Amino acid sequence: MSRILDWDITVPYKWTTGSVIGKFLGGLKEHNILGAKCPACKKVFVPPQDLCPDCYVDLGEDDFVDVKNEGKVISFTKVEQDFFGKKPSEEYLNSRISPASVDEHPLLWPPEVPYAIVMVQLTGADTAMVHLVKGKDMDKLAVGGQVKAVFKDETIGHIMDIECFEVIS
Amino acid sequence: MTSKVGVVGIGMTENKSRWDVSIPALYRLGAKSAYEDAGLSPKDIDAFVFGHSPEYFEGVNQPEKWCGDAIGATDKPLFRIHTGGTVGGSAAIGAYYLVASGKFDVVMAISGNKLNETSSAQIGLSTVYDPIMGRQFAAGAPSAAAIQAAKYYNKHGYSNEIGLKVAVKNRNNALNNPYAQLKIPDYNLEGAKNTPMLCDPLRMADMCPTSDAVCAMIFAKEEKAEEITDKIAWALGASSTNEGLNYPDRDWSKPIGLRLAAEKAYERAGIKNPLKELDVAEVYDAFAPQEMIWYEGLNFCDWGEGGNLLESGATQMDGELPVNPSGGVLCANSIGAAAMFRKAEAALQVMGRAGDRQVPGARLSLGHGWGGAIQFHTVMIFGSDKS
Repeated sequence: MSRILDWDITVPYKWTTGSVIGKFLGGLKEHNILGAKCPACKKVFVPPQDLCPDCYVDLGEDDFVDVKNEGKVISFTKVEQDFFGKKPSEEYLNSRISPASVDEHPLLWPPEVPYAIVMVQLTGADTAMVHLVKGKDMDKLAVGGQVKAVFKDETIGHIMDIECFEVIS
Repeated sequence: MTSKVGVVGIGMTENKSRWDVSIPALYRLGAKSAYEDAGLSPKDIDAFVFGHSPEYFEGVNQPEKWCGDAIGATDKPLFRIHTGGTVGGSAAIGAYYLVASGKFDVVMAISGNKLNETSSAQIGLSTVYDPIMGRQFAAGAPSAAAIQAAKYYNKHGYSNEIGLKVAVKNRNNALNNPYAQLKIPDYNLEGAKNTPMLCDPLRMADMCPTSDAVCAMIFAKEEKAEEITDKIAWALGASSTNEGLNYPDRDWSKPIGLRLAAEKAYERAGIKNPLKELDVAEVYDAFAPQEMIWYEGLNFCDWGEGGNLLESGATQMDGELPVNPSGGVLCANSIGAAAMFRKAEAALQVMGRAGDRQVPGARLSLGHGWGGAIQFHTVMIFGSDKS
């Protein structure tokens, strides 16, 4: 007779950002969104990356440019189904000194459905970044519409320092 | 001049949830099915190419260690390939290249997953997104596919429900496939429209199921292949691409990477007009709208015309180029085996051994694979003739 064994694996990790994304995240802490501009083709990457794949040229901390905190919606989806099961309680999440797994990381757990995932091309950028739109703003979402980043009051240098995007037109 | 390579054996396990066998035992069933099909045994295989999708799905790290003996690879060369949902296609291409290189005569490609062993395949899929600023916005694979579909529909003015017509076509085809998981009698558009919205514009009907399955293919060099069998699917061309992720001027609904892979594969197989020359295609329709997007990437039609090609009926079983006679990924998705099933189904068609899902007289076929968010594509062309 076949039997089923249950097991949970919890493995703590650290993820190094490198200096380019590190600088971008540092910008978010100050409520600024930064892009990295390829010195060869002049295209602006937001979020920045340390390589232009077209030119295969390194991008460094000297290649940063400011971009606007707003831009246009390239595409979006409203997520209506919870694919993840039960989220641990806030009390449990807050009680942890450091998150031990993806499931327990308050910054990695998606919001309650429904929420929207949007691809936004910020003014001044040549690539789109992915973020969230929540609440009533979802009804106003349209491809080509304008959205603006809403920052949290308390920032830590993380992509979720941007709470979400709001629809401005 | 590389030597000709043929597929001489195909192994498949039925796509379903299986609580009767362990992961290695499922691989053993897939391998055994291929050995029986080719009339070979492990001693006849010179090397193995092993495919499996992200470890997170089953919580088993380095499954090739656990499964090597099960596939008959004891004391033989074994190469692991890993390219997400494309992995079965990459493994098949890897095996083909090993034989074409002249270094190995007979090579088995085998790939699979037991997806039901995860508590949520979507949590596993979300960890495929990068940890620094990807996972925060990942609702598994559906969110990326939904953003892709929304872009496609918006750009070309197609109705949000056209994808459901792909689902109806493929789910009805699946009724002829004993290896498919979703076999729903009288599946129709009205029913598909009434399924819940999961990730707008994707409804439940646009989604693939969660399967446990293994697929295997045995590739042999020309002389060996002709010794083994007279029903050979000749590998006439193959190609794969890795497409940039965060990339200026790239559009998720316009898969340039796939177009490049297809053009290379067509060039190698001497195909100039794929819609006219190919007799059948199996494409990686993990989400229904993708099938139309892949039509365009595969150059069956111009950019933006995928929906119109579908509406024309050309890709129905009785159309000019039937697509997914097996029911495709929409009816069976183990991820690890899904892209190899596309190649294996394409090979079976030109061998004339596709049973009730056979396209009559098929002599030239295509198998496609997609995976790694929007990143990877594989294309293989098979023929009844050597060239």
